[in-house]
Amino acid sequence: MASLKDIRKRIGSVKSTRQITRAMKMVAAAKLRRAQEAILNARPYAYRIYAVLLSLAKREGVSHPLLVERSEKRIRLIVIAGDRGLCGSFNTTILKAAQEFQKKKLAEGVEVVVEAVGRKASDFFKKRGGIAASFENILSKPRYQAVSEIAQSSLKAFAEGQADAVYVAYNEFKSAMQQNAIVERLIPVSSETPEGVVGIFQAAEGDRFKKYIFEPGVQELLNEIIPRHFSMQFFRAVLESVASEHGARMSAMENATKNASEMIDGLTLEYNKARQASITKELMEIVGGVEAMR
Amino acid sequence: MITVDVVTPTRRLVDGVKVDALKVPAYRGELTILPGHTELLTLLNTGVMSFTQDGRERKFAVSFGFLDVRGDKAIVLAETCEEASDIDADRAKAAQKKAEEALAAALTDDKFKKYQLKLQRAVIRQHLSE
Repeated sequence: MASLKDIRKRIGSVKSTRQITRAMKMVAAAKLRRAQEAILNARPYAYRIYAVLLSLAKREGVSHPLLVERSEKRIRLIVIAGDRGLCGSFNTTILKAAQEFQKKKLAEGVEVVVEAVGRKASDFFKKRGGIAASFENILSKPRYQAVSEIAQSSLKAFAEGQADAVYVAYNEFKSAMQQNAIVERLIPVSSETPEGVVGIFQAAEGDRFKKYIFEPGVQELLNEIIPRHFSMQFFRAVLESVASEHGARMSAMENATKNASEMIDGLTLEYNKARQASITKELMEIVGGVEAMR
Repeated sequence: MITVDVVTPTRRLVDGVKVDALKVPAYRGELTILPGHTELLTLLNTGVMSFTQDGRERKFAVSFGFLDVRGDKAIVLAETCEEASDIDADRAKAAQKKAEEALAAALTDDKFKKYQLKLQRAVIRQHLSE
């Protein structure tokens, strides 16, 4: 059995670890709340701009290169992970999903150019096959302008024929406990209507819609809206990923705190046993000594 | 009355405020939207948007966006939009100075355009903050 001093030392160290994990949990929880708020705040703009885009795209006589699908020879994959670890399987899940996607595309003979957002993603892909660009320091406080610039550079690559499609891999935020790793195609813009937008879009349709005035014109409006829509979609992916990261960190740290508490309980029990044993031993020695002196 | 919504990528600035008239810097010049306006979708220029709410005039600096008028609803989708009272005068002044310098040093057309827009935004923000 370990000595009393050793056990006391271990209890102390586990306690200080627990203090750290508990603090990290609190911080993650506060950040998660803020990140969730950011998602909610971004939603109205994202939905509305998409509804407008769809109603324009479905009019006759308009076209835009970003709506046209090309056969994929070279694609761009933007992987969004975290800057930091200690968040459970958050980083590994998304990196694995992205790598699998990359392998699948490579097997089909498609060249995949990877761009990484977040330090973990850039470290991972730098070791495996390399990356075209990496963006760090935007995740701690995602700002629309900064994120939009990344999106616009991909857009340019698509327009100039350097990429036939742009995919984004990120963790979709379901709840603090659950995140889904998904790989989504953002360019060309899919004409399928996702849930959530349907209602707004249907409200936008109907007969009254036909006498709309468009300034400067349908085509010009479309040209302006599509890049914005893409920026916004990408911004939303970043926000989702950030919220997922905080959620994952929060639950990971909660588990760690719980484990530490259990460990402290076990160690305390062991400590008390050892203490009792030593007291008993001392008593026996005293009794034995007294006996011998008689 | 028209119901006005103003949304940006990061927040909902105005949510269902009822106004008598809405002034916007539309693509072809300043527009005043009154109740009963035809359905309209227009690009917005960089400029000042304003309306009167409860007898108090509210002004906003808008840069790039759309206005969607549908029935008695007007929705403004703007990439950036700031209310005059939220603008930091010192920062606006500094931004204007920076934009002026950058514009003077711009060599390519792209850059020139970019900084020209920046300067325009900065001037409007500075103007509003006073």
